[in-house]
Amino acid sequence: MATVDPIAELRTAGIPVDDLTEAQRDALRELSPAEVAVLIDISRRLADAEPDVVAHTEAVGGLFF
Amino acid sequence: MTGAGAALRTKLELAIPLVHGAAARLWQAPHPHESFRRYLAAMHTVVRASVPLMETAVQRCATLSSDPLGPPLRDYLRRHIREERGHDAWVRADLEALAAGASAVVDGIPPPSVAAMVGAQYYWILHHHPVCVLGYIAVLEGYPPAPSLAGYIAERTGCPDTALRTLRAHATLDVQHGAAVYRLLDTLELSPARQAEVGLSALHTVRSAARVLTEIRGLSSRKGRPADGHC
Repeated sequence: MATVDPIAELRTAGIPVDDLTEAQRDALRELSPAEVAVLIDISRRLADAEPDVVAHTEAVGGLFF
Repeated sequence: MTGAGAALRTKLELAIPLVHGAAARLWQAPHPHESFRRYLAAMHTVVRASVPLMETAVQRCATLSSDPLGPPLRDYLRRHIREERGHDAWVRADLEALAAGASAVVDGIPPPSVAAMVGAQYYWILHHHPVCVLGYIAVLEGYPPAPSLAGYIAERTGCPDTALRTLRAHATLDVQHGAAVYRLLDTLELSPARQAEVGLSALHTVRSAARVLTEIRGLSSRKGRPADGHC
């Protein structure tokens, strides 16, 4: 079975892995195929999102626990 | 920070802009008062599951007799249960402060997006391994509302400060709690497989959280239409 390279898969999907530090890339090399799939899906959703949103830092707020 | 916590942060930094974008679209959309009311209602459905979710994970830890992750995970969760208990009542009080009777909305069926986000955790805890819940906690407490969000919402909605108490509290509390879960992840001896499971749980939570926020925005934009049957 061919070995999958998570970094190559993320790069192909347009995720800017080359902007990361080597330590960060090391962490991403350990991604499971399932994690890679979700990250790529998230990346596509980000690319599809409406581009006209102004990223006000005060408007940043996700959910809470 | 080194270890599993740092690795998880690296994964999440690539994903979390999805949640931030969804939040920005929600807070900049028309009908901000309605958005905030629906946001609080949805948050109640999330927060009221926090303690039961952790209690379920504690019970599962008790079944992991030979797993070294069981005791430290159980101890962390027991502490955190004490810290989180009663926060759903805070959200309900904020809803009442927003408008008398507004808290009745939480009696409706919780949104499918919340069920998908929280429900996945129950599934993984019960049918796989309770350590997965750390991915969920790491997202919700690791990326809390910005401290300035409450003021921004107050400005946009004109809502009373008493409706913003939970939001303000969590902007502070979750920073501390988020640091605690990442510290735990760094100290646990997680195998690469377990790290990937926590990572998958976290990434699923990111995707689901963005969906929750997007769903709220969609429902808020339908303001004035007949009741949709859930909060």
